[in-house]
Amino acid sequence: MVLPLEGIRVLDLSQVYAGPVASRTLADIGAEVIRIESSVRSTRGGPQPQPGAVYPDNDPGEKPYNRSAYYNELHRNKLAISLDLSREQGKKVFRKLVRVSDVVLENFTPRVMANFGLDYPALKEIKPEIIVVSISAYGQTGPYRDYVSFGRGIEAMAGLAQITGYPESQPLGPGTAYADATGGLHAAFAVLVALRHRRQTGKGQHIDLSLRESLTALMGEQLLGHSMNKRAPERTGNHDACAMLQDCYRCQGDDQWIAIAIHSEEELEMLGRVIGNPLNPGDETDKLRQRIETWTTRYDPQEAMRILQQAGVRAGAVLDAAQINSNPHLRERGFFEKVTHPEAGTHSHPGMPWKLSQTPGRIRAPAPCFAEHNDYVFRELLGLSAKEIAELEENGTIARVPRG
Amino acid sequence: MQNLPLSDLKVLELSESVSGPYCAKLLAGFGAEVVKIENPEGGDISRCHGPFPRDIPEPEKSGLFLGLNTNKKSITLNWQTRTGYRILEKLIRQADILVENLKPGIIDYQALQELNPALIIASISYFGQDGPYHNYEGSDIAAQALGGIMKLTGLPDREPLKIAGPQAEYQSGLNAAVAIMAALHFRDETGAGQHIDVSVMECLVSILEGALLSYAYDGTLRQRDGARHPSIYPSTILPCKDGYIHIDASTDWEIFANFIQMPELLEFKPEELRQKADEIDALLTQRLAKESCEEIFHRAQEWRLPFAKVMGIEEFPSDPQFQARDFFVQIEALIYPGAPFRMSDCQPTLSRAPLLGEHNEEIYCDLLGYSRQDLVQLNGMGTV
Repeated sequence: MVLPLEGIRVLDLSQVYAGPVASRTLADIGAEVIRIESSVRSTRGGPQPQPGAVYPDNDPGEKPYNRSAYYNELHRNKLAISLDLSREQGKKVFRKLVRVSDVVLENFTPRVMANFGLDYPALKEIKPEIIVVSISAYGQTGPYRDYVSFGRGIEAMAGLAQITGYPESQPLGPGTAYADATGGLHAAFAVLVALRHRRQTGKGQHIDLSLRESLTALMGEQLLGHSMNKRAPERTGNHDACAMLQDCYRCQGDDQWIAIAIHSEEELEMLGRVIGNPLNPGDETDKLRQRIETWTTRYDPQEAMRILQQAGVRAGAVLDAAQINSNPHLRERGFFEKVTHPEAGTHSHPGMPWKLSQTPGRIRAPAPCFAEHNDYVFRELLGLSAKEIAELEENGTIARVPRG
Repeated sequence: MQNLPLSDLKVLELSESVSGPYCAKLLAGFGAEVVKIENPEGGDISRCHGPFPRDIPEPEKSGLFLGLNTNKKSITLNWQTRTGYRILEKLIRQADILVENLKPGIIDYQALQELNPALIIASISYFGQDGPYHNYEGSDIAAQALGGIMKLTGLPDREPLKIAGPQAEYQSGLNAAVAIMAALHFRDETGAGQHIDVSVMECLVSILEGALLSYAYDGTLRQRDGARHPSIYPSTILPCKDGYIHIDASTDWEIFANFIQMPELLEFKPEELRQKADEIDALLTQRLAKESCEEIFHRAQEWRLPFAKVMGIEEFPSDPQFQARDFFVQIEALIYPGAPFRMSDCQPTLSRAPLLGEHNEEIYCDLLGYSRQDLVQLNGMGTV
């Protein structure tokens, strides 16, 4: 055994970002994740390039659905098959797959799996010890159960967008799909807990993860604060309650910045010494900013960070994707991995999010092409005959090319 | 006591603030016995950070501490003295998992691993245990800056913005909990422990929504654009009559235009929407000025459009969805968020965070076999 989840098979019906983050995490630690993609709504698009998608060298190529950066970053270490679950034959094949799998992961709105006749009670009939993870916006129960949302809607409904913004701006919210990432990681944690529960009791179970609830779980101090003082939290820009002074300051260059946090008078004094301009806790925020920026604008952010850190100041350069890609610290830690994708070429990919000394993990395989593992799954795993597979292809239950 | 999936495990928490505590809170929620080691001089730093009732600082009343340390036990120990370290060693011998977020180099995790080869050690630090930044001073905002989130958050003509709250720290605690569960599966199979190196910065650069491979593919550098989604328009936040509403037309532009009763919007072609965002935002803002947030949210959902209310947490107690799912938990008159997910066969319960050193007697006397007198002596030495 080389990786922790070797021998665990996950059927991944999930789409967009939250579910795929969960299955990426499980795949990274060794699970065999099989993505089940519909040829009609593959979520990676069809023969036409997707609006907003990024392709190698800005060229969608003949099969854009195998070349999208978004898809290929998210689905490393996974397998993919095509299967149409709205057809009876597709459901039949899926039920066979459930029999040989440990986990089913989906993030449809709650009614979809029920409409397929493939919800938890149905899957449990087929395999009592199956673990089913259902990720949805608002949960499997309650008046909003059928309401739809993407990550940014969740950030709004969880109270995070309301407080993420400048004091004088409207609510803005995070610039990345933060709610989805948070939900996906919580889902991966839940699966691992459920697997240990199954190891101990032999029992499977259903995990009901509401993206809004899993994000609200990371706002405990806000909720407790309100419960204590009945005061609504406000937008405070880059300031945090634990800091004496904290903000983002302009550096040399176009749109270059550095974040600095000062937690004590000693730290403020150190900062004052570095910039050659004494700073006092009582000074006006605008004056402080002016004095600090007089110094920071003379340096590029990474140089400013180096100097400030040498003096013990909590400073972090605001990095963009290019600067992250070439970042000497991440490079020295071996964070990036060179990966060759058969249809997208060789590129530097972000690697494992953490380092485990005995079971380090790596990108073992690039993201799968559409239907790449049909043969392995249908023939080797399920033992379907060539004739059966041909029949499924003929009636459109499985496909080699996505239509949308 | 309810038998939960981690009830057989002993976790030592040598961490403070947010990242390590959130990690251990997740483990404690599923039954692990978490013993939090706090310094005898004031304990976890988060006890000094608010929110506090009536804004009066009091170490046993910090909302940050109370929220992050549910279901745990607390002992005080100055482990950086000789006697203290010997006690730590005793605890390590009996533990299954150690969660620490000290600065790299302060604790010799290899020595602890040798003491107990089956031990899983999770080290959470801002930048990891090695590499040129490993000794850098960190903070939540510095991690969000270096982790790529800030450059993507905020308005294009303003300074980059952090996500509110200690989100970088929460995120790394969550990652560490997942990594520990992975290591635990490996240990359940092989009996071997291991060391886990979690860097807050690396956790964040792992969730940039495709931004890194996009750059590697064709040099794309996504720009921050306020509340607008990087590629889909409209998916943004706009003011309405009585608040702000998140609108989203990504599912179907035509249905959206019909829903909002602005057929003139269809004169904009889908491929030019993003470029003309300012113009369209202005039209929509005019239109939305007549709509109440609550009303348009529900009506949009009837059309299956993913609208959302921009809610303040003060609205949560009366939110029908949270109510129907009984999400919040009340402990001693305070409202806590409930579990981040529900499990049909092993749902945890929530009990309050420990007082500083509340479990000293239980751990030192009952578990490690010190007498009450020893404890008084250790107390006098400042070890406990």
